[in-house]
Amino acid sequence: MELYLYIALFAPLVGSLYSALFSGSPKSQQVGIVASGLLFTSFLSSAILLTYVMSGHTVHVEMMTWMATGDLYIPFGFVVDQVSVVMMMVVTIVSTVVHVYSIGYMDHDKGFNRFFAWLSAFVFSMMVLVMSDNFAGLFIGWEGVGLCSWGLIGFWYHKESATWAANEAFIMNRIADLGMLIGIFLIYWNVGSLQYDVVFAEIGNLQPVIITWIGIFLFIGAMGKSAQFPLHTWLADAMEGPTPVSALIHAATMVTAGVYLVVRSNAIYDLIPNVGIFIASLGAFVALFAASMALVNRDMKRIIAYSTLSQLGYMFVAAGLGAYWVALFHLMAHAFFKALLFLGAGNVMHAMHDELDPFKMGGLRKVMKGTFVMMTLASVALAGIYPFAGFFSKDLILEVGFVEHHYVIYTVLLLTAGLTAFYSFRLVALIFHGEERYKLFGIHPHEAYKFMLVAMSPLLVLAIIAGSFKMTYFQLVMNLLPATQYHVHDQTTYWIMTIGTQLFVIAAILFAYKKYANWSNVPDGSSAMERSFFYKLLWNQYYIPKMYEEIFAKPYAELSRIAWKQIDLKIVDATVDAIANGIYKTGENTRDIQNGNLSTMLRWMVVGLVVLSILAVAFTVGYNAVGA
Amino acid sequence: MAITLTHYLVLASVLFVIGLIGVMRRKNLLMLFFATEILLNATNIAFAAISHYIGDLSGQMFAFFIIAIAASEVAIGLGLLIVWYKRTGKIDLDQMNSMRG
Amino acid sequence: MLEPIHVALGSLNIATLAPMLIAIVGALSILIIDLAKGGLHKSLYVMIALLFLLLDLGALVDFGGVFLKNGTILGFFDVMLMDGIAILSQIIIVVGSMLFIPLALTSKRFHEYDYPEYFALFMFMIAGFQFMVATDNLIMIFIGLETASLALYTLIALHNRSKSFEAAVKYFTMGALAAGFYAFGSMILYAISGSVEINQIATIMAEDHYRNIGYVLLSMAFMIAAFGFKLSMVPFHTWTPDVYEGSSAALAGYMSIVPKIAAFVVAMRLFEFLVHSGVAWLQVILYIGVVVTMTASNIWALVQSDVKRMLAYSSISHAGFVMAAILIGTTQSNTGLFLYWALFSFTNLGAFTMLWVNRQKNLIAGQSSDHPYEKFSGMVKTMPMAAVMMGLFMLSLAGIPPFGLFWGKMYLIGSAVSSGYTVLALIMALNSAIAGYYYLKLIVFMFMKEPIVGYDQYYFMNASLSLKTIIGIAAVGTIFAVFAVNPLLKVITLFVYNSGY
Repeated sequence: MELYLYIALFAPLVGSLYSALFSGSPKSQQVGIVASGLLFTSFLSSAILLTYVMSGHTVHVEMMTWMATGDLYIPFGFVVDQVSVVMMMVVTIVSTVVHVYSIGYMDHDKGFNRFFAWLSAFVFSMMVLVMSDNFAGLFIGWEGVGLCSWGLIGFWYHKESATWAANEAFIMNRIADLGMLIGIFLIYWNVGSLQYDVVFAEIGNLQPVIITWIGIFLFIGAMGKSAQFPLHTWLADAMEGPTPVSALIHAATMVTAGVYLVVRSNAIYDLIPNVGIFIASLGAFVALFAASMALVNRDMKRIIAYSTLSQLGYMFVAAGLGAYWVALFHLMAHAFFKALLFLGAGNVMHAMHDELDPFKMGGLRKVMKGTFVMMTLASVALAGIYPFAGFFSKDLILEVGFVEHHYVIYTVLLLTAGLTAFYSFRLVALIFHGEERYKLFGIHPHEAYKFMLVAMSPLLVLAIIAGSFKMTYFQLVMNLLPATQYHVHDQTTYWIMTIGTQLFVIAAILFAYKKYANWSNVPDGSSAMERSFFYKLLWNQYYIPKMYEEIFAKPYAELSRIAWKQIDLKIVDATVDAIANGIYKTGENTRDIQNGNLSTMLRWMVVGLVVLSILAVAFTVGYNAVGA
Repeated sequence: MAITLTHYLVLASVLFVIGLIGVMRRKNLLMLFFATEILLNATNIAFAAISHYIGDLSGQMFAFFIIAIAASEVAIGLGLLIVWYKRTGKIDLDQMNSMRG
Repeated sequence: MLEPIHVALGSLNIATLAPMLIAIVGALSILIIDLAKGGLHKSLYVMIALLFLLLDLGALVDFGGVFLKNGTILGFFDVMLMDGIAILSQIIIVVGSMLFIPLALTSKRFHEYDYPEYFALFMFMIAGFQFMVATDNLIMIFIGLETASLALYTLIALHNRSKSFEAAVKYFTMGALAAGFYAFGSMILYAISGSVEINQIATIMAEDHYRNIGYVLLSMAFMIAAFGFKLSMVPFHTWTPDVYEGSSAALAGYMSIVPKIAAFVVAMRLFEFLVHSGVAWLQVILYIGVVVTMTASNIWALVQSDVKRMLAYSSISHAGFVMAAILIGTTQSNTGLFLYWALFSFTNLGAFTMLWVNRQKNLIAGQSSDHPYEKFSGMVKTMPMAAVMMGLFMLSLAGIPPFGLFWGKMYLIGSAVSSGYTVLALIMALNSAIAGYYYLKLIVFMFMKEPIVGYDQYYFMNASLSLKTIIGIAAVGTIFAVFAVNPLLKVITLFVYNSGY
């Protein structure tokens, strides 16, 4: 089994290196095919590992000792257990699909080979992140995905906005990573190890205060990676990257790393329910907050990004309330339908020549049947209609909120579920129904390559049926995660809740269709709604980006300018220069020792000997005097 | 007056110091080689004497090896000196400073 | 009448001589082949030398196995001593030599390689170094040291340029003086203990509780001067930059590695029993020596305008850094010494080989040295691969993770900390930082400056397949050291610990 573990882990790396070999040369199809093939291999190995784990075993290897100096001993090991195997499956399935899809999507791009190098490198980092058996390895993978995400968001580096978004994402993540690093240091400081099994066994012996701080700092790291408020702005801007990247990184895998971290550290968070409540409240807030912004946005990819943000909020609610397996389950289901949604959006973008405003589309269902069906079904899954995947995972989170008696959270999430359904179908209606507004702009849309649609179909199937795995999945992960079943005990209440939720969601969908399915013009900002306060508030994302600009960016720039002009140039630079000059001068002045004259050299040797001898004699005299 | 080990050792030390002074003062390469020979031979005297007084043969062995090595050193040294002389026509140390710093 | 001496042949354990004999036989067979048929191409001699070195390495590995099973092997009237550090250092010596000898196959013709004697001398030199480390007999050390040194002087002079003769004469004269120091130092030790074997000297001195401490210290003063010369400790270092500049880049790289590991091993044998017996004087002297050597040579390296001289000063600094291990004197630090040197061999030989491929036959007009910084400016534009390689070696020398030397530095500094030498550890770390400056200077020249028009023809003048192979090996060794560090450490610790250091 170790062999499969290594194959699953290293196949993406091989793919990345292979593609990197060609990164300087012009596009060649085979690079994409080889990279995809290697990922498929990785997926197969993961699947084999899954069956193995399902039969009740786990695989734990220690690849090598990574560092051993004095008391510091960090082995570099990997573990395939019930939790990581689920993540591995999600990562490999989605990334295989995305790789194949990208062969078509990036067909005309000059950086085709480079793209695959980055993409496979990302998958490798993600695998390291989920498979590591210690916090150090997790952190390496964590940084690796951050780096690859930077490279992929800024993939079209000639676009100013893309590089800006890449840097924003990277910097925000770095701020959060600092928190995480502190958390890891705290763990090492107090436990003396970074191995999961050791840490989780020992963590209960620590003082509650320390556990709380560890939990908080780790969660700060999770907030950055999973774009939780107030570090959420980078995710929407990250949509500057190629769409497959958005599907893989900013919907299915990387952004869920934060959730994975909390789920993985359940032993820690179980001990600090207060932090858990905070996480859940923040999650609920983000769910509503992000959904509200999605209501009015006019950028197709950003709408989906906000929806991702909102769903991440759901996951954190579940994780915060201790329902770790529910969080992980929603993570899995969400990965499938959200990646599908993004890839569909990519098809639409291609058809519309990179037009992102859904108001400029309309009626596309006639030309893009396949995409239309897929995106509609994905949206149905996202809205949580029975029997699609979202119903099983999302409604479960609502039930968790209800069962745990957090009725405020429950209400917020219920409301959000309605909003989710509304904005999802607003998007579908605007894109695929109504008048063909794109004709105004002289665009001739066309369906994507067949094989891209075929590549997407596994996701479609999973988005539909993933819910039926619920019990199998539960049996699997309850070995590792707290196995609490969340049932509303009263049958009547249960049915009222379920049917009520369904009706509410369906109503929201119908409302969205009614309002947008027959849309005929492109809004220009003159209608009464667009001038209303709420619309403007939401349209400007609650003015948060602007606020960041005013509160942080501008004063920071000013501060930097002062620091540079006053402190750096006048004090720091001068000091550094003085030291450097001093050293340099010393060198210049003493290099005369080396004047190249043999006689002088010999004298130096003799002088050295004489000095040593005198010291020897002096020491002996002193030694004898003291001894006597 | 009986000659003791100390006399030999003092002689050896004096010779060694003479050798050292020679190494420091001489500017002629050939003279410099003489000076290094004095250094080694000073040691030889001491080795032979110690060996005799403590009745152990390894000191004399050491002395023999030093003689052999000194001979080969001279061979190499003179070889280098001849090549240097052929190239530059001088064997003065102060002329030998194309590399510095 | 003298009694005839009977010695049972079996008790001699002649096998302990095998590694050195293989090298000597190699040298002799090169000479014989030349006698039988002159004018053969140098590649033949390179191959013969490689073959015998390979045999030599095989014998050493075999000894390694025997050592791990039975412990230290004595032989030949107990003159030969095959303990762990002897075997380890010989392996480093032989592997370093195997990496060096293919550098003779340059694309330009160089005078020295036309003589088969060059290769014969080279093999004799290796035998000399091997004798030097595989014994604790002062006589044997002297013979090995001088055999190797005399051969080395000749190898330098064979380069047949005015500067190389000057270098050889300087090195030779100072070497002769150092030999005098060594002989006199041994004489004092012999006078106070009546023995020429280091472990017996140590026992005798411990038994009479260092009654003659004054003479012991005096002899140590001489020994420090003698080995300070070999290890280029300040102020006995003055030959190093000149000799490196005068000899070919390949040989300079070799000199920065192999002779020094041999000297380190002898220094370990000679000084560590005193360090352990708590003679404060030696500790203080070594402390000062280490700190001054590291710092001063780093500062001098800063102001060099020639890359080879810069590397010469940098290798002085590295030697000082490693000398700290002998001062600390724990098993951990001695292990660190070997680890550091094994990693350093690859990186430094790689760096010097990069200079060697850059070598043109005669100086460029208007240049006073072979490898000025300007020659490398803008190299990334004209020869990106070569620039990356050179940059890699520089980063490794500067101790940037994850490249080879970082691990060596970390382990040594770690051993300093765990033995309580915190200040020393700080100074070592600080010096690594200063050193980074001049390594980065070369990187700045290569990656950020514009190429000088007309210089690009000189970049890869001397390259040939075998040189490129060596660079490749060095690069692989430098990059993948991360994975080798731990197994290497295990083996080294086993050898060092079992020989009692």
